[in-house]
Parts: sequence; C-alpha cells; structure tokens
Amino acid sequence: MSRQRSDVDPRLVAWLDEGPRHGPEGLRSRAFAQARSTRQDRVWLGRIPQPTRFQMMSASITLTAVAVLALAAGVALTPDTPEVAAPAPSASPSPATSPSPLHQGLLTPGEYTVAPFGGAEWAPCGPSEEPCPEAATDDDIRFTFTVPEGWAGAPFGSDIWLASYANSGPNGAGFLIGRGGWLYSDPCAESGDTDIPVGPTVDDFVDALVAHPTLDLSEPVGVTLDGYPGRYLELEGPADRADCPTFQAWAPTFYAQGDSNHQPIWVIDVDGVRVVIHGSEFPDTAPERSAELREIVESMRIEHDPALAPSPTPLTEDATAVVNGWPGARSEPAGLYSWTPGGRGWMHKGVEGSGSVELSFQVFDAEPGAGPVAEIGELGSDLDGTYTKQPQLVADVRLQSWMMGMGDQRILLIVKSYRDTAPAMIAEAEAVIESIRAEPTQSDAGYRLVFELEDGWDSG
Amino acid sequence: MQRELVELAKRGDHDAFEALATGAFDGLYALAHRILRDVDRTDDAVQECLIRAWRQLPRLREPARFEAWLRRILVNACYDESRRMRRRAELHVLPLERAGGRDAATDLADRDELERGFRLLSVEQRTVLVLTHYLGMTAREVAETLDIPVGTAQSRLSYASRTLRAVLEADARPGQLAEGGRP
Repeated sequence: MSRQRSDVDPRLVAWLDEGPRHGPEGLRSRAFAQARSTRQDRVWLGRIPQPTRFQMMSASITLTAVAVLALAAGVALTPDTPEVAAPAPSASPSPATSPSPLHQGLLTPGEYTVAPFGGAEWAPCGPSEEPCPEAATDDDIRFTFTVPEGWAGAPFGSDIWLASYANSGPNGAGFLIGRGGWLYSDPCAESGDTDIPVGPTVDDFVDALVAHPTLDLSEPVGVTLDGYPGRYLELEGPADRADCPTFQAWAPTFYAQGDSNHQPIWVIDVDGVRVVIHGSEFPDTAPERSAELREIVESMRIEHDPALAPSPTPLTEDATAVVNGWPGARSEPAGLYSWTPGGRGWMHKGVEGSGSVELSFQVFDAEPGAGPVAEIGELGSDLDGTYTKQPQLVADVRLQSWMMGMGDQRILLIVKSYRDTAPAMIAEAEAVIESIRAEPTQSDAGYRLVFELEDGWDSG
Repeated sequence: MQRELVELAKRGDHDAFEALATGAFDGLYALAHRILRDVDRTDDAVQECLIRAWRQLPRLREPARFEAWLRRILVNACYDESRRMRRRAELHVLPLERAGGRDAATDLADRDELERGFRLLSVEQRTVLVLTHYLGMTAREVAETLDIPVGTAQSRLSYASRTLRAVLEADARPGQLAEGGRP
C-alpha cells in the first residue's frame, strides 16, 4: 500500500518524538571532566558585554543608578550579579591632583594615567593572527588624560574602556584604547575568528577598513595626538541591530553597544607602534558628552618610555623584586609571576601536545573528583592549608592536581604532561607549585599567589 | 541569570559553564541522537560539542544567544561525526524499539522504513528535518541555527522531504521490501 504524501510528515514527527530525551549522566560527567583539563581559546578581551554601564558604578550608587537607568531604558535590574561587583571608587572624594592609575568604577574628576599594553595579559592580535607581527614594543606606552565629572573606567584585562555613566545606546559614550587587529569579513557574525589579515601599521589598518566591502566609513583624514601622527575616520554601526546584534569590524575591540552606534576612530603611530582609540557614541548622546570624549582623547599625553613598568600588576608586599602578572603569550624570562583568583590561569612550556608540560590555576568550588590521593606536603608557611596530589594517567596524558585551601576558597592547581614530556619538565612544574606563596592585595579575593618561573613559560 | 553564567564561563569559570551545559545537556543529546541515529556517535558528538563550547566560549559575542550558539556547535559536531562515520563505513543495526501499541507489526515497519529512509539523507538534510519536525523551527530559525540562507534551508527541507517520501513509497511497493521483509 502506497501512502499519501501528506502522511509522511506526521509519521516523521511521531517517529522523531520517540527518541531519547535525556542524555546519560556518565557522558555529561566525562565531558565536564575533559573540559576541566582543556584550556579555553586565547581570551582576547575585546568582547565587552553590553550592560557595562553597571560595571562602572560603585557599590554605593548602584541601586539608585540602576533604578534610574531602568526607568529610562527599561532594562532588567540585576544588582546581585557579578556585573555589578565593581570595586568601590576612591575613598577620597576630593579631586585628584596628580595622575592616578586608571581604575574600574567611577572616576573622581582629575588626571589619570594608564599603560594599557603593559604586562602579560594584553593580547593585541586575534587567535587567527599567527604569527602576530606586532606587540613586542608596546608595553611601555602610557596615556595620561584629564577626566571630567561623570566618567568611569572599566578595564577588561588590559583593555581600557572609559565611559560616561551609560556607555551603551541610546545615549552613552566611551572609548577604548587598543591596537586594532585583523578584520571580520562578516561584522555581523556571532562567533568566529577575524579573517581579513591586516598589517601592523596605521595605514595597513585604515586601508583595510576602507577596503572592507560592507563597512560604512567616513573618509580618513590626517590627525595628530600629542605629536604622534595618524589617521582619523568614523564608522557607522547598523541602525537596527535586529539582524546584526554584535556588529564588530575588527578584534579585539568592542561590538556595537546599541543601534546607530557612531564610532570615531583615531589610529596613530607611537614610535612605530600602532595605537587605535576606538570611540563610541549614539545619536542621542548628549553633545557635551561627545565633546568631552573628544577632548579627553585629543588632549592625551602619550609617553613611550622604556623605564615604565612592563607589568600592570603592581608590587605589593615585596619591594625588592618585580612580580609580574600571569605569563604572556610569548616565552617569558625567568622571574616572579602571579595569579589573582578570578579567571583560570593557564600556561605551558614546550611544544603543546607532545613534550610539553602545562600548569593551570583556578578557584574550585565543587567537590574534587575521586581518585588516589597522596598527601605530599604543605605549601609555604603563609598559606592556610595543605595540598594533595592526584596522579591520573589517561591515554598519553598525565594529570596531577593539587587542591589547597585559601580561607573559604579552594584553589585547584593542575599539571598536565604527556607521554613524551621529560621528567625534568614535570619536576620544573612541580617546583613552580612548591614556590607558591600568597600575598595580600586589594583585589576582591584579597590575595594573589606569587610563584617563580624558569625561562620559557608562556600562555600562548 | 544565564547571561551572568555565560559571562563567568567566558572568563574561565568551570562551574558556571557546567551549570549552563547541564541545563542544555538533555536537549543537545536528544537533538544529536535524532540527527545521527547512533548512540555511540551521539555520545561522541555531544562530548565534542561541550568541549568545543568550553574552548570557544571566549569568542561568543552575544551571551543571550548562548543556546543557539551551542546548538550550532552541536550540529557542526554531528556533521563531523557523520563524516567520520562515512569514512569508517560502519555498519549499523537499526534500533527497533518500543514494539508495542496498537499494531506492533505496523509500528515496527513504519519505524524501520523511516529509519532507512532517513539514513539515505545527507546529514545536512537530516538536520533540517530534525530542526523542523522535532524542534518545530521555522525555515528562518533553521537558517539562523545553521548559518545558511533561508532559501538554502527551505530547499534542503524540500529535497529531504521529497527524498524521504520517495523512499517510503518505494518501500511500500511489493517486491521492494527489505530483506526479511514485511507483509
């Protein structure tokens, strides 16, 4: 008997509906375990989440300001989320009289300074940009500028996002100091890497923007910031982001923070290093805010001084030795490095996947997995707790993990090595762990872990 | 809440990622199984999807679209798994389950027909059918999920439906029943 064509779809629907609706618990556990030993793709901190207005508010004004913004913009109130956990502003209400380090949160009117490219966390190139042709000589570039009332700093890693109270549409304003990068052939794509190569110079970047087939740009004009030459142009985001919610021309930088996002762009050459100051404003942005944005940028002092500290992580307790932040994407020299609880830190030495050894730090809130546990000792005397070793050998991979207590937190340290990893390399990773000491800091966690590295570790 | 979890997971928070993935896990598994029709391959695809999602999370631009993004990763994992299946030229035993009901023989026959017809389709066509007839997506939603033009989604669905109908009609003709055929 031949069935009628109209009979097929209902049968198909019923048949598809018969299949399993739940996945096996073991599969989920395995996948999560594997994810925990897998590093995320390089985090290049260009993706600024849209509700950044909340991040810039101090805890003391959050509720009031959020209520005002919610009334104005109809946004949901989420004051208990990490988004609002911005550090409190300076305790002193008086205006700053000398350049202060730019910080996250509301800024007291005054002069601020920042070296956004310094240290290990800055990743000026996207994941597809290997080998990245730039970034070797930018660490010591320092920007100093005067900030009027009503602006806030929001450094995401080493990206600097200076903004008025509301940085997103329909009336926000802000800018980010970056390095530019490769372009997206599809600025509306929700994910994926940049795929249009861009060279390291000012002209490389500006010409690539101009040559892009879909970007709406003004004609570039010459510009000078603090004596450094460059080019200025303006980029128009989509008027309606319904079909392009994350419009972004290049990475790392921010994506359109609202409809009709007008983006002034200064691209300058600082002693051979390209600097991109990427602005954001909207048709409803108050004219005085737009004017302030330009005034801040155009009155910047830009210094290129090798004597400036290369690391964004300041010294705290030990004034006799430089303590760097987490190792960068390139092979680091021997020295003291640090990890501040928050994101997962990952670094390795050697060629990944064959003879390398990897080391990661992370806060661990769940119960540790079952397995052979052998206590191998205590950490330094200033640490609260002990750590244990859980050697596991899966296929060609050996994982060793240490769990240690830091107050009410537990920190998970993992050493990952491979069949071909030399024992000396594993011993070196273990020596890193043995060298860990805790230092008090002003971070949310209240401390950082400082450790010693030999030559050759990196997080790239 | 999901936006905050996504932001945390993007910054390397495993617990946040696991909370997100746990919420999506059953749906991912159900979708993958319907596309691949094989338990082991489904396991592999779902596991690969979760690992890829973890790795690629820092590159997710819009946290609010996490689920759609995750579904796309799963579909791509299914595509990869399906290609791997072809390369290995594996033989499959068709699962004939739940053989009860009004007319067990007819039900079994129906499912067997559908199973074999479905397997004759490309994984891309199967995916469009599953998204349409299992998840109830419109052509536009299918296109967004697969990152293909709407017209392509519509033509894929049309071709897949025609192919499936042709197989079922051929199956129903005397003399063309599969080995061990049915009345």
